[in-house]
Amino acid sequence: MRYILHSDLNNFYASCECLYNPSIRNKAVVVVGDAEKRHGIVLAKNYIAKKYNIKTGDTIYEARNKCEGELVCVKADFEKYLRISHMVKDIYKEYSDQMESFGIDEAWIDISHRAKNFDEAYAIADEIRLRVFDEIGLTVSVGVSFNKVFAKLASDLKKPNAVTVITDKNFKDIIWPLPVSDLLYVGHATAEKLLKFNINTIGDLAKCDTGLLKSILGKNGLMIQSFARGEDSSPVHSIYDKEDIKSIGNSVTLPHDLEKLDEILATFTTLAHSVSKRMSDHHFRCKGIAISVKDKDLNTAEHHTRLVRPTNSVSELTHAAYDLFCHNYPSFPPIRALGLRACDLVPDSDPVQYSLFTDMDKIIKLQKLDSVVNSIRDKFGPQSIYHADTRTCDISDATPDDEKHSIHPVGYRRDRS
Amino acid sequence: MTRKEYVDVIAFFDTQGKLNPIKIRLSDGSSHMIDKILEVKKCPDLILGGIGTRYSVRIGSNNIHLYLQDGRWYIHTACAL
Ligand SMILES: [Mg+2]
Repeated sequence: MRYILHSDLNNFYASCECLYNPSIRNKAVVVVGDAEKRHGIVLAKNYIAKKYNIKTGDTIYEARNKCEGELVCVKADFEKYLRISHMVKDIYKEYSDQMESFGIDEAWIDISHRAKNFDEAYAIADEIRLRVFDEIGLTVSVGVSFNKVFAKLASDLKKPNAVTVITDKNFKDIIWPLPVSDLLYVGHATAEKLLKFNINTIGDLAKCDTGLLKSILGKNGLMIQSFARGEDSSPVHSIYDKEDIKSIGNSVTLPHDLEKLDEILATFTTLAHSVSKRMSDHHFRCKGIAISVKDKDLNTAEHHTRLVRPTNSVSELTHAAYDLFCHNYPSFPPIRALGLRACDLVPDSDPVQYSLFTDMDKIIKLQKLDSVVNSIRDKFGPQSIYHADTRTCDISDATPDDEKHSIHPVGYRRDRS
Repeated sequence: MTRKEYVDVIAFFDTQGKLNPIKIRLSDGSSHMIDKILEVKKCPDLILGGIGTRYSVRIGSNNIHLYLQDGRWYIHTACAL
């Protein structure tokens, strides 16, 4: 039996604002996208605002009309929410490495290694609830169950500041009478379809004829039915899951065969940009690189090298790749395709040992340059800014394969929030 | 009324990596040795807001709370409305 918690911070944004400004704690508070604009929209509200039937998505104007007393509108401060979310998740992590975020204010925690039965699981859930309240000042609703879907459902049953347990013995009594739309992944459209076939509750879904369900919803129908039956076996991902990425690479097939060294250099620069960006997106540096070389007769070879220190810098990757190429090809046939792969990845939070005589100013300058280029590319696309080298050599239309369709990374399962 | 009075603090990291404040200087320029750290607790400041660490310390015959929030130290000070 697995014991899985789903912890959900109550009214997260609004609670954060009240935490930082206690003077608004006892007033109706809404967090809005843009408070200056009358048509700004309510993103979150506290319980007092909820009492006035203010809803997420209301305009500020509508919200003010519903509210009888003073309505406090606070502009959303996502950086603050993210910071607080990290503090809360640090507490979760003390209980398990298997801690998977679901958005900024929710997470699953697998405590199977700590709990032998539901009583013990409840005790741990309650301890977490108390600690988050005590140390951070926020309330959470925690669901305890034997799979992720039911744990999430359980956390919705009692709010705020509560723990709800759904066991393998009582789930039919507690969950099956609930409307089918309460189930994770049953959206509005799916619920509507099910309604037409008189499938109203989660129990109806669980007991529904499998063939019929498949004809209504396809494979998806079978999935949600297994959820309803408590057969969800999906794991809670580990906080170390990022290590699933073995390497980050990219390759490019050139519009014309390359015969000159400066074209080779330019191509590696283009590749290094995209590899570097993805490494920093995923918070990695690499300790080694590999290049792949395909000539016009389609002979392919790969060459590896270790780097003097872990890096994700564009210029360091470029030069390592270029040196590796020159070392292996004193002379070379016309080149059809080139690839660059960063291997032996380490988290970019690991300290890097520079030699005493390293020009740190230069390294820091280059890092800044990389991050500026990356943010420009994020905003305006990969072609918005590029190395001048890559222009002169007319490989400008040689967008790395990855930016059109993803070929690597190997074994990467999913993005984590 | 109470407000946050930010203070200068001399502190040291011990071999366990724990941060120990040893002396504070108030905005009026007066300095005070911390005689004893009574309790260190991660907690929100429910009165003036924010989340951080609260050091309960003894200075002379007074027990006071010294807060560390987002890298800055403060104490609660009474102020006129
Ligand atoms: Mg929530």
